[in-house]
Amino acid sequence: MLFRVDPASTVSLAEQLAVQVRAGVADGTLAPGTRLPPARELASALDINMHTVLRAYAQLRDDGILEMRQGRGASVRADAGAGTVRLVELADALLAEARKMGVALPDVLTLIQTRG
Amino acid sequence: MPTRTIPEAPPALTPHATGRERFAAATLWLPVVAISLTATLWYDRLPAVLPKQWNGAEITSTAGTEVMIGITGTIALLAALAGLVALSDAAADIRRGLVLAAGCAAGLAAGVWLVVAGLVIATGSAEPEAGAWPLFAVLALGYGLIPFALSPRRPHRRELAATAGPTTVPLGATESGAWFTTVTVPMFLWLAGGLALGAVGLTVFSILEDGAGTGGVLTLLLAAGICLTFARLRVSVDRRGLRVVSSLLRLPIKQIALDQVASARAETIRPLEWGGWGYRILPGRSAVVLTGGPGIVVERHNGTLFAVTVPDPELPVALLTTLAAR
Repeated sequence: MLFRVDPASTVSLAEQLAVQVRAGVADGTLAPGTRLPPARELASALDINMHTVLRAYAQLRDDGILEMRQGRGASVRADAGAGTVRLVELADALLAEARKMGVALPDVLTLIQTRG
Repeated sequence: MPTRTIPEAPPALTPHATGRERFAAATLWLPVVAISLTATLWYDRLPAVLPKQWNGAEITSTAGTEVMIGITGTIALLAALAGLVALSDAAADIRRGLVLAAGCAAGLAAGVWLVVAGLVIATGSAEPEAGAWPLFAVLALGYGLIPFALSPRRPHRRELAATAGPTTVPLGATESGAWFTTVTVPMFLWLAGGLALGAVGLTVFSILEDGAGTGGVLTLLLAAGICLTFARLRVSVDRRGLRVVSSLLRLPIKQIALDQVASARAETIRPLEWGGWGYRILPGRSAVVLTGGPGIVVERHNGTLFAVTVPDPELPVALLTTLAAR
């Protein structure tokens, strides 16, 4: 898949990468099981710091989109599909909206829990 | 298909075989005819066993007459058939080299047969003195030069499909782009496993038999290593150019830097036109062919081509075009 980063953007480089992987999984470019390039490779290719790529990968792992195994690198989780990605996007949107309105994270969590 | 040709190339020859090339391939049948004709004529007068090697006047090894006819005849026949294969359009680039090699093999086979059988017939002895005649058998290798000289030199094909301008990826001035894909060929993994098992088996045999077959173990391990190298490849396009890396062995296989890239295009790769599967090197072009199908073809500034098969090559081609133009 195509990765692109713009250092001049206001969005962090790690976030730019994470967004693209999410989009790739959502539109099927990155099928479940697809291997992502090793962090060192991708960093060198884009001329950015390896830890930036690792941060993006870690974020995606926490979102349930990637799995990372020692020696095998990062790959798209078998159960990661458009559904997972949509959920993560909605959560991001919810948090952004809450932050804008000055609602703290615990209050947002309570809001979700009372509905669960 | 409309094509354009690089100006310095002499008048283009189509891949189709010319009359001279057909004649060159036809000359490869002469050794077959010579061997079969003499074998038929002389068969009744030949002993059951023919000399094969001389050391001075002494015969050091022999072979059955039928075996001798069979081996030399088969080599000559295979060479003649290789000549027919060389006439196919797909083999145009390697046609001249192929008829040279086939001619040498057929010449040597016919030379060996004619010298050995001819000496026995001429001297009437089953164990004739060879004198300098074996030298003639070796000189018969030069027969390959005849079809080679008959074939015209073919400039490497430099045909580029005329497309409606190369597509590019719109990248911002400060933006960098990188494209990655991993191509896996499960068959190569199985092959590597099988060869490694064979190597282990042969090692055990080798230890039991006091070091016999060590060469075989090395050959099997080497073949297993090659299969493993091509079992999973990572192809990337970025600021470092086009790279093909063996993902399992972390071994770079090919890299074409951006400043070497003259143009890139997506094309259907037919393995037969690129000399088969694996890492292929042909005059003026090379390729990493894993499957038949779509691939990236890059032309370098020195005019040589490199191709690699990947699924959906349009995007990497567009990116490579964009980055190379920067």
